[in-house]
Amino acid sequence: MIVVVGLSHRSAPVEVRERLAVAPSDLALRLDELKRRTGAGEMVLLCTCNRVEVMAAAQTTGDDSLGTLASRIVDELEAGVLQPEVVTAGVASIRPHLYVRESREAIEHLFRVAGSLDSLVVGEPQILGQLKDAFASARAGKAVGPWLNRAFEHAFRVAKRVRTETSLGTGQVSIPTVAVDLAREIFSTLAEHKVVLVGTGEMATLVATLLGRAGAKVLVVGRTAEKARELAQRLGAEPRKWEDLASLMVEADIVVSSTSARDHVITLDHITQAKRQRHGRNLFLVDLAVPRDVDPRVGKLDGVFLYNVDDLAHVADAALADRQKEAEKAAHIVDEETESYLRRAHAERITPTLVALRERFHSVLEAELERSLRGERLTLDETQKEALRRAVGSAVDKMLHAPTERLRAWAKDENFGDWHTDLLVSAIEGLFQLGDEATPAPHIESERAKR
Amino acid sequence: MREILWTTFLLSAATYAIACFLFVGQSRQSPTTPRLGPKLAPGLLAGGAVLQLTYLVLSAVSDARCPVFSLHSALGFLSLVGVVTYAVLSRRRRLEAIGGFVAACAVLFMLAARLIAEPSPEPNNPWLMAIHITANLLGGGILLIAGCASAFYLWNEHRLKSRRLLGQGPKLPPLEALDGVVHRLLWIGLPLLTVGVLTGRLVQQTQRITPGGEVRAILSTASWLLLLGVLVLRQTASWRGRRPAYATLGGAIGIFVVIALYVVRALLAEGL
Repeated sequence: MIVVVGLSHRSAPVEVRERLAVAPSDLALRLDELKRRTGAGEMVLLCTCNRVEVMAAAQTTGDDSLGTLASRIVDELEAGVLQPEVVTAGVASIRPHLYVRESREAIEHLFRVAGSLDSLVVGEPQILGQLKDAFASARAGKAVGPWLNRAFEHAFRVAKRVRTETSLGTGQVSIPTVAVDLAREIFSTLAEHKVVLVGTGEMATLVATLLGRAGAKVLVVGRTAEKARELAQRLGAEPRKWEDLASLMVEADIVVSSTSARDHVITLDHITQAKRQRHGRNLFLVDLAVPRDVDPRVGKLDGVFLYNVDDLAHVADAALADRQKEAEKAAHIVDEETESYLRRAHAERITPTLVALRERFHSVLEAELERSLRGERLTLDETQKEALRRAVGSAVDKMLHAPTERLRAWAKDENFGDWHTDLLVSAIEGLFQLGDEATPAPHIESERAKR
Repeated sequence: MREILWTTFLLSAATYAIACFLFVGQSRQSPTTPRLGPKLAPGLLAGGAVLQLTYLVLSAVSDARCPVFSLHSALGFLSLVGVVTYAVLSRRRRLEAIGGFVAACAVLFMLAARLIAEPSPEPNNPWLMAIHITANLLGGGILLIAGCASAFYLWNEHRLKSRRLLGQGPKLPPLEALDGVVHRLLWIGLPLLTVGVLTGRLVQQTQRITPGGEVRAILSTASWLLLLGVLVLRQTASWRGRRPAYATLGGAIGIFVVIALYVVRALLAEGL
């Protein structure tokens, strides 16, 4: 089973979330470090502007090992493993904001995240892409094993079901559309207005694209000139130099910022100086970055409207009230799929026992057959011997078919329960001594004694 | 004749009232739901204005005197100026919330005018008085709408600044549109009010001034100066945003108080 440790917009404000934010370029390194320090068997690190979550599976099975792993992850996050360069001494603990989900709760949480039910803006589509990227990154770093592989593959199927069976994703109210709607509350028309896109973040790019479609002129600035130029070309926008950022605050009507900078990119000084030359024009700043790009004091200036991701989410929540029914449908799908996943996982718990049982039967009968063929001095050629081996093997398969199917059916049956499955597995392993490779089957032992 | 007058009055007031409800309903609708009669509310407002104009003309014909000399008719004209100003401004602008307010004010002014049914005595200098009252009616009506737009500006600015109130309540006009509307209205209304204030000084010299009249004159001059200051600063120092909105609202409130004082005086004179 898996464990999820993290914090999100539900448990922590942006001031806390930005302390755990990891730049995409550092993600693989931080994941590797965290996995090594915690001794996890498998691990995926999801880091978006709204959540930082660690999904992990222990190297050994058992609930205790999962709990131990969870507390190790909490300790490491608290110690600042994700941001080793940031000084954590004297800063308030993040521990109260962290949540831990284990086993069933972890699976349900993962499915809710994938289905966009736990998003800032319920139904927004970006989270699925971010989850897929996190999974791909972990897989590339060989941090994913059977547990997380199965859980994530199932989570992606859940997300697809939510999209196709509910209208949660239609008539989209997302962070980008909310930002555009807010721009329309300030500016009567977006045509002839200038939008400055600072950074190349995915969501900010979406906002700029929508504003561009509404007729606004888009200018792109980025610390990496090449990236900014490429993005500007893709958007049909105008690239500008990073050094022009301060002067762009005079030209701009709307600024959409999403960089991975650790400090404020747009400072109070930038805006107060620009305001003198803006001739009273309103300025709308959309800060989608975590850590925040725009100094929050800027929002207090007259004629300046500053919104960060949390503010946009609050606006979206109000707009989403009438989509509650769809969210309820989606939650029902998540419940169904969690049950289905757990049943499958439950049924698969018996698989190693069944495989071992078959192997034991085959090995015993083959050993007996070989001994007979040698001991009775039968004059059979190789073809006849092979036919005999096949017949014996087939007989074993046929004998075990019915009990195997019955055992699988019981394991899948939700009324059968964990306790019964564990009892059954223990009984089979005990009766046939499946767990002990060194001990031969009892009848072989007795045969040897007779001889 | 009285039945016709009464019918047009009632029809006009009812049409304004329905338009007001429709405007408020429209401004409260979410953007995703189909809009409730998008052209019905402005149409009803225009219909109400035509009915009111008919009523005012018929009243003037019935009384056989210039309508501006009666406060009863003057209030009617004031609301008509407001409605026409809104109708012109709302073309190609999202101003539904203001439409509801304008329609509500029109009904209120009509009802107030009904209480002051008696015509005022003929003035000494009817031409000067006619120019004075007409300029004040037009300028005052337009600047009241400017004040109303400023109030909406402040409301929406507060919502956008506080961030948490968005997504609730009516859909308000964009700040830029409101600011543009206020600027235009100041340019149109202030010269008219200037004529009204100047002719008012002349009227004061030819007529005996009561203490109440002195208060009204001071208040209207102060409002005019405040609005003039706003316009000058807007033009020269690009004064935009919250502070000029407050100043414009203050000027408009001053004009409204002057009108209210006229109404109160008339009501007191009638023994109410």
